[in-house]
Amino acid sequence: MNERLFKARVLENTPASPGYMLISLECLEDIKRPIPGQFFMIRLCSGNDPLLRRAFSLHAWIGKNRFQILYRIKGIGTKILSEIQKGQTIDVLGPLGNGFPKRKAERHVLVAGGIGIAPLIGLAETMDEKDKLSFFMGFRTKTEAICLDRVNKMAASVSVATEDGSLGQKGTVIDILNKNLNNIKSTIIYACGPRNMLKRVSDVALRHAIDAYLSMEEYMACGLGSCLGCVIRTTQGYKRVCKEGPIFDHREIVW
Amino acid sequence: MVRVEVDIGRLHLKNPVITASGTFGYGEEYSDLVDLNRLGAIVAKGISLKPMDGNPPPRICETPCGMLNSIGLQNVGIDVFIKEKLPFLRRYDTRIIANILGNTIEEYVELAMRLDDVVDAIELNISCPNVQGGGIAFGRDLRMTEELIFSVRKAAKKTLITKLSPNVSDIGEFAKVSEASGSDALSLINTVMAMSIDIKTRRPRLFSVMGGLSGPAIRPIAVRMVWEASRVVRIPVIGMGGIMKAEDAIEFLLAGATAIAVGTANFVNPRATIEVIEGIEEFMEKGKIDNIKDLIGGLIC
Repeated sequence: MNERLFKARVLENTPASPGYMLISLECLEDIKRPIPGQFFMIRLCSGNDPLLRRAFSLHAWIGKNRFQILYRIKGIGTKILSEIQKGQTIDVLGPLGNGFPKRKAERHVLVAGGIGIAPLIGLAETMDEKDKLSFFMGFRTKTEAICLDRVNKMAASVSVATEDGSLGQKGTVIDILNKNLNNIKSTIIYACGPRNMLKRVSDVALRHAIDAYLSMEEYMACGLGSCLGCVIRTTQGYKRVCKEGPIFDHREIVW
Repeated sequence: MVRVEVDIGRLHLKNPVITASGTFGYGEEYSDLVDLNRLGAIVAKGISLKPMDGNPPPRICETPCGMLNSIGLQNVGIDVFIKEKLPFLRRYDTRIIANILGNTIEEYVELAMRLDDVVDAIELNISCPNVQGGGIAFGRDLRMTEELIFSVRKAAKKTLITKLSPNVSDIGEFAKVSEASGSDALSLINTVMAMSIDIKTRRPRLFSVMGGLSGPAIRPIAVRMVWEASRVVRIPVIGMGGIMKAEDAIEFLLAGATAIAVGTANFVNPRATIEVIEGIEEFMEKGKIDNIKDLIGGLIC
């Protein structure tokens, strides 16, 4: 355990695309460099409403004690976060959770659904062999397609799908994954996105008998493994997303 | 230096700040962030004879100034608790209180007997709203409360604390029965039965439909019940319900609580217990209150 409770100064908090924001933070004390896939719990109000911290995965580490979070404005918590100004300090707990494992393979396939791209960018950046990286990204529509420039610079191949066909293939990220996942020997999948998408990624991985690591989500109160609120069902009983996860081997998960 | 020690039955606490069961794990979850030596006592997550899986997710949801939970007492069971969790807790200079839950009186008795020599006090959970049988099935029935406490009292020597439910019509009656049956102290309140609905899906926001409400939303209810209970018994009351900071804790002390427990605040601010201890001391120093006993039950009305 190496999590800390610390204050972080907001270096910038700007729109990444409509509805999406990128916040850059500088920790006011030394923290352990997080592993991609780990997350932070941010307190959004010093009063009592909203009461609970909100979990955000690491997007990218940008140098000593500085990191970024990419988020979608979805509810009250993210709305408040989006209104925090440059120069303000916020209360952060982390890094938390296990993070993606570091594995060797002939091909690393990163599968993102919407804002699920957030932790996968950080993962791709820390991978040694960028020529073995394939990105599969799904969005609802073109204006929501974020991080394309960064992904194009990093990965050997990039495939995009949008539900309305306004960018890339029309359909879901699973459609393009199925179409393009050939030559799958020694391939590892890393995925983050909505639960339904992750379930279908797991189906794909099972069919091809390959490894897949999924970033799971569940409502969470403490992030420290004490409230037992964020459990998901696994082959070994309930496991805590905040402690045993958020990254799980897809074979463990009981959908 | 102000004096903040208090006694709960035969249990002497260096300060009145305790962790509420189920909000501080088995202590180890917080040991990187909190100096456990500074706590008056740690109440461990409720334990049963056999490990329990708990309820399916979603188990929690946020509500105005509070949260609902229906964890369903997921726990490692008494064997693992004694073998793996207690030795860790015992490394610290703080009191360890076990919170126990059974389906039958016999189960409570067995738990109490096995824990009697290894913990400092036993808290009887007769108020968990999230399990079938056991728990609140005892806590809502005066006769069963009486019988249970009486049986456990005979089996265990250590300080016995009964954790009462707010989901009853007259908390005073349960307080009196608990005292008369041999309980050394009372803990209150457990969570308030509640529910929340997602209006888009028309589904409950918890898998178990109903859950227990905790957090600042319930604090005034808790203060009222601590006041009602402490007026009708001589045994000490441990007050809890939405304590986020020292001012909240002092409100409970004034209402009649001898000690207080910090619960949901541990999820929001892992250092809440320490801040409450420091804040109480600061309040006393500023107000020239030398002994915390001068705050307890100090309500003027």
